[in-house]
Amino acid sequence: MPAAASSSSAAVDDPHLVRNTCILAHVDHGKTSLADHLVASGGGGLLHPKLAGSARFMDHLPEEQRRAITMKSSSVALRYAHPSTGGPHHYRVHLIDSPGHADFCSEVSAAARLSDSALVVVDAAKGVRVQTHAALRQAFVERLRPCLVLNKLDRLITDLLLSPDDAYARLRRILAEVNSFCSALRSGSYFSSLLHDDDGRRDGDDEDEDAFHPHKGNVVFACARDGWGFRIDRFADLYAKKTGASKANLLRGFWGPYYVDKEKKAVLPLRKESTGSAGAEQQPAFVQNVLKPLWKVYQRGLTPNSGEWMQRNVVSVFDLKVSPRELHSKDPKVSLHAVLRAWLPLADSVMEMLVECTPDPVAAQAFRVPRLMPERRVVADSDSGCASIVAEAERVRSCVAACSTSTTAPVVVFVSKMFVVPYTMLPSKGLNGELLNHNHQAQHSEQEPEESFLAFARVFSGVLRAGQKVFVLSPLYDPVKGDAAASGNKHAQEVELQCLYQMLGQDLMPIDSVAAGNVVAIQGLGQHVLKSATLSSTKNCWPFSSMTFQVSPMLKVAVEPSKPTDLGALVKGLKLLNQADPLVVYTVSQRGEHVLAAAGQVHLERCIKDLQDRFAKVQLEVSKPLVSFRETIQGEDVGMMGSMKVEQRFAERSTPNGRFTVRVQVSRLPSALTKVLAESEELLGQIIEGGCSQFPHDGDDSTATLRHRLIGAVDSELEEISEQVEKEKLDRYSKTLLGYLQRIMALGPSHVGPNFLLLPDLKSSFGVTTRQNGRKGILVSSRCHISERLGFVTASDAESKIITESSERKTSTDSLDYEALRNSVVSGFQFATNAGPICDEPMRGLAFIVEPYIFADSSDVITYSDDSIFTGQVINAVKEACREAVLLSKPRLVEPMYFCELTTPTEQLGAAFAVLGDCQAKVLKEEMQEGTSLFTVHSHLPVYESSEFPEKLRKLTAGAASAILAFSHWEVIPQDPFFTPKTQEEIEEFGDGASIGPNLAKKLMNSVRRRKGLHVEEKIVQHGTKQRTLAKKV
Amino acid sequence: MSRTLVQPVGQKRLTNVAVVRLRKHGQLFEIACIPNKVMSWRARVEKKDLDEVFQSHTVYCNVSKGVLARSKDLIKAFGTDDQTKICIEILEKGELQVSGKEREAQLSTQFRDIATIVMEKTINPDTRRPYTITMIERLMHEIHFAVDPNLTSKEQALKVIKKLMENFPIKRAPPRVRFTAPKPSFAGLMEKVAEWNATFISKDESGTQPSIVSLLILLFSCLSLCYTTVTVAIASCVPFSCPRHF
Repeated sequence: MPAAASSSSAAVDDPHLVRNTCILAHVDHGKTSLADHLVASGGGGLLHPKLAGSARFMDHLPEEQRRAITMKSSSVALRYAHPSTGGPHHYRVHLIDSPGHADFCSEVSAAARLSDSALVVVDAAKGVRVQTHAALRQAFVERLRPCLVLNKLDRLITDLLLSPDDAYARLRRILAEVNSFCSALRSGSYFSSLLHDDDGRRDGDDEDEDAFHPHKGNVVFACARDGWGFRIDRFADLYAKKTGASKANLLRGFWGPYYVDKEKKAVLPLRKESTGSAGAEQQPAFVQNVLKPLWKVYQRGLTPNSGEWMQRNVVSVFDLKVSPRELHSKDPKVSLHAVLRAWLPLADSVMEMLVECTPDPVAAQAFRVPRLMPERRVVADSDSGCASIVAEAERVRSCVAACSTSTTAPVVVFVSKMFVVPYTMLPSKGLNGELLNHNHQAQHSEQEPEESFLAFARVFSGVLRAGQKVFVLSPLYDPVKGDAAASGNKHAQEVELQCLYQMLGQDLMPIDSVAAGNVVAIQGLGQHVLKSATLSSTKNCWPFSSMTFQVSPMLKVAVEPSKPTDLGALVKGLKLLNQADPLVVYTVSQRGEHVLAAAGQVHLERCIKDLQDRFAKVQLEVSKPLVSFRETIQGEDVGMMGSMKVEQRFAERSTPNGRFTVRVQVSRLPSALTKVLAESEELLGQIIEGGCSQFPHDGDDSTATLRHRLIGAVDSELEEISEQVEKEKLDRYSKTLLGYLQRIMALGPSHVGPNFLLLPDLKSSFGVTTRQNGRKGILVSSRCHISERLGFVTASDAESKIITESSERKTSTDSLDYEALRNSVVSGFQFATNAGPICDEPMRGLAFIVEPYIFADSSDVITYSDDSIFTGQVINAVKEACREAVLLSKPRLVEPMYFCELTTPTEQLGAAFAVLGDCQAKVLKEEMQEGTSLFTVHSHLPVYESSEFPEKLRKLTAGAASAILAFSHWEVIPQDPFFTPKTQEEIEEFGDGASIGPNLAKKLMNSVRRRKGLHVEEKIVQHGTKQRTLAKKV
Repeated sequence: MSRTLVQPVGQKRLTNVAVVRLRKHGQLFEIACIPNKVMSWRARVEKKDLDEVFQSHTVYCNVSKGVLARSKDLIKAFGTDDQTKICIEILEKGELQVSGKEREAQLSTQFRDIATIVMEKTINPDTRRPYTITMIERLMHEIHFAVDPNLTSKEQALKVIKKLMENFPIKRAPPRVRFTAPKPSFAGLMEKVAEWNATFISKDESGTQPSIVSLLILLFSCLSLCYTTVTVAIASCVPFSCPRHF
């Protein structure tokens, strides 16, 4: 298409003649049908006008055609000659069709980011729906100029059989609804800007005015299926010609409570009192002059043999060109459509609206820049280089704001998504007819020769050329820092672009340069851009702010190949999918699961289908991801806390040869302390591993802060319970806790976990020996390494202890043996904390006081034989003792909780609460968002329930509510997983244990045990006597 | 005589019987139990209601013929003629024909147990992470593995691992070994470790004696070989095994 290429390159020069727009709407409100008509009229022969409305040109994926919903945003470049004064201007319109389904909101975001305006389509029969709100919100957030298309007007006539009056009322109601939502958005953002104490920048324009009004020309009344549409100025024109009244005057009266007085040829306000009695004369102008003729055409047109009437009353009156074959067709619909399409062409009115009511890239970018590139406040550094970078970045920003198309301006491009095209779909001929070798990349990597990644992008400043070298900046890139980090920066890579394409729906047309303000597809970024990125010719450029999605990926599943040998292909496919879909998140969990997170059920289904058919080409199994639990014990009663007199039960284990005995007591750490430990795992690891030679003195920063945090956690815990407990006990408790901190020998599991291995209290067991069966055992003493590292015990203290220890330990022959023994104890502890007794899950928040004793041989000399069997026995004994100790002191299961922020309109609040209750969520607070009709509900949701949560939420609230999940904390399940009635009261209440009600902890424990193949206490048959009788003789 | 008319018989007939037998003092004793319940009793799941397990608290010589055991024999064999006590003893010690559901449950539990052991002991060399349990189960089905209830789970798991390694990209998880050595022999230890092509995980120089260095490494070669060479080469070094995933 060389002609098209040359004409398009002519349009490149002037950004004022470019319009970028996207179509947004609820599902099935007619976005793709509308796009069809625009393509048919302006696409240069891409689609025959007859097919428009049913071809679904923009839905080129087979899956899209099958389901008849759009799933991917796709763009098409259209041309339109606007009949304005001073000769027709050839405009270029980049139209992006977007999906309406809530699951594909990422595609909507990608489309909105690249557009300057949005065509919001609303079904006149169904009215404003949830996704309409989402679309308007998206347009508002991205600072797009919205235009309204009221679609499916024919349904009001043929299906709902409304009278023109009722139809007018309905249209007015829809318009009012949309307008009120827009003003709510404005006031909402105004409130939030007040709350966040922002600059309080208030968009001064059209504050009180309605966003959409037919007078402004930004409302089209249309029927995309039948292919007609109009703005009121078309009818105003018509009547102005007919009656000779001024057009502007008529236009004013064509919407609202006015009527046209035929004698006076003037527009008069409707008199309220006379509306009922005066009849047709007093009807609003819109009903009288617009809807009634339409109704008449439809009603007459749908009766058989209407061709003659049409010819007389419509075609000849308006001087339309309709082929007689269509006009006199046997099927009345055909002739009706032909007449209407000729009379009120849809594409023309929409295109006119786009040209007249939406901003060109120059105007739009100036308005959108604060959103795209938020102003950064850089701390004025003394470094002079920094200032120049900031200045240049500022210059780039101003170029973006001005949409500068000069070749000297820095090139700034934003890639909003990556999409996959098979190599066979790429045009094989280049711009000048030369053969393009797309496969030169594939030759390097033979594995994936058939798919190519293209970037869906828009040039915001400068002129982008094929083969140009640009920097790919990730959203985290910071030019001030980036300069210092030199070229090895992972946030900024230099890439040579391969080809540029103009997108024509499914087809691509190679072009050699693109000026600012145009949408383009770029090849050659597959390896460098993951999902979205900013491209720039200079390194000194701020990356664009990342896109906002209306929902977050929270439906998580684990995928596995059906044939285990296909795992490699699956992993490769998952990586491709991760890149191709902006909203998919793919991770490999610690347990080796391949976890795929998607926005919703439909989205997930498409991802799985894509994986199976395109990316991985293997059969898949999809399952719920595993939920991991933790194990702990029930804390002591507040009253009992810290009372040392209450002797805790301890577990004792010996090695088979009787040489070694260990006693373990377990107590629970305060939850605040556990939290601090779990959070600072990494830091702990560094401290434990790092400080080999230097013992931390007070100068050591991170260690000191951690120490203070630990003590602070203990203090906060004490404060919390201080009101319930008397002073004396509190003191004792605090002393115990602080004592714990001084005697930590190891942490577990894996050396950094939230469990303590404590040495026995030295004062009580200093050099203790124990007697058992008349033999003397010696306590194996050790040092509290961790406490030393953390600085709870000073080094000098430790030294002195060692001296006393070594002097006492005269019998010890080899210190190395003791060291090995100690290592075994620690390992046993690590094993035990890694797999607790409830269901082999890690323990959490426990302090084990371990007293290892070693007994003399019969020869009464303590020698430690270098026997690895013995080491193993010691490990086992310690492990068993620890697990036993936990079982003795009321074990409890700990489950992970999500923090769930749920946003729902007021009508669906009840349903949303029902879902939350069903999933055992605990509601924290609910509040109305200022200035909107939305409710925000904060709650804690068990992770175990979360796999069904999104689906339930969508079903029960009709898709109106959306939720964001983030991991929040661990929570102890208060129920005892091993509960059996023991006391008199319990037996009275629950019976003898044969029939206890549902026990959540037990249910979870059994499910984990069953999964792991552990012992599950479950009867094979519940009622023995109720089995089927197999014997025949009775 | 009408076919439908059933004459009353002076017998209590048992239906759905699982017989548990015990041979003691040359005599065979049997009890009549309810199918699928005996294993539950032995696993201490069924611990409350004896009537859920026994058809009747009677000791037989032959259940199917309805021959009761003589109390003389009972006293000779068990030292008591308390039927319930003897029934419990037979229930605990006797042999039985394992019924369908019981066998099914037993096999599936053991299958999963084996899969868990395999999972713990192997990794996927590509991701360096373990396979999931469902993947392991699928792999085990793929090689047509059948559970043998007479062998322990661990024994079978080790066999499965060997077989899996022949067919699939799966590896034994390298053991983590910690060596503890006094400082002078540390250099020698490092040399040895380098020979085995092992990966260091951490090095810890503290301990009661500052001269002791412990070294946590990941081994890829044979474990027992390492032990012997280490102990031979550096006498004062203590290898310390703790195989686990990383």
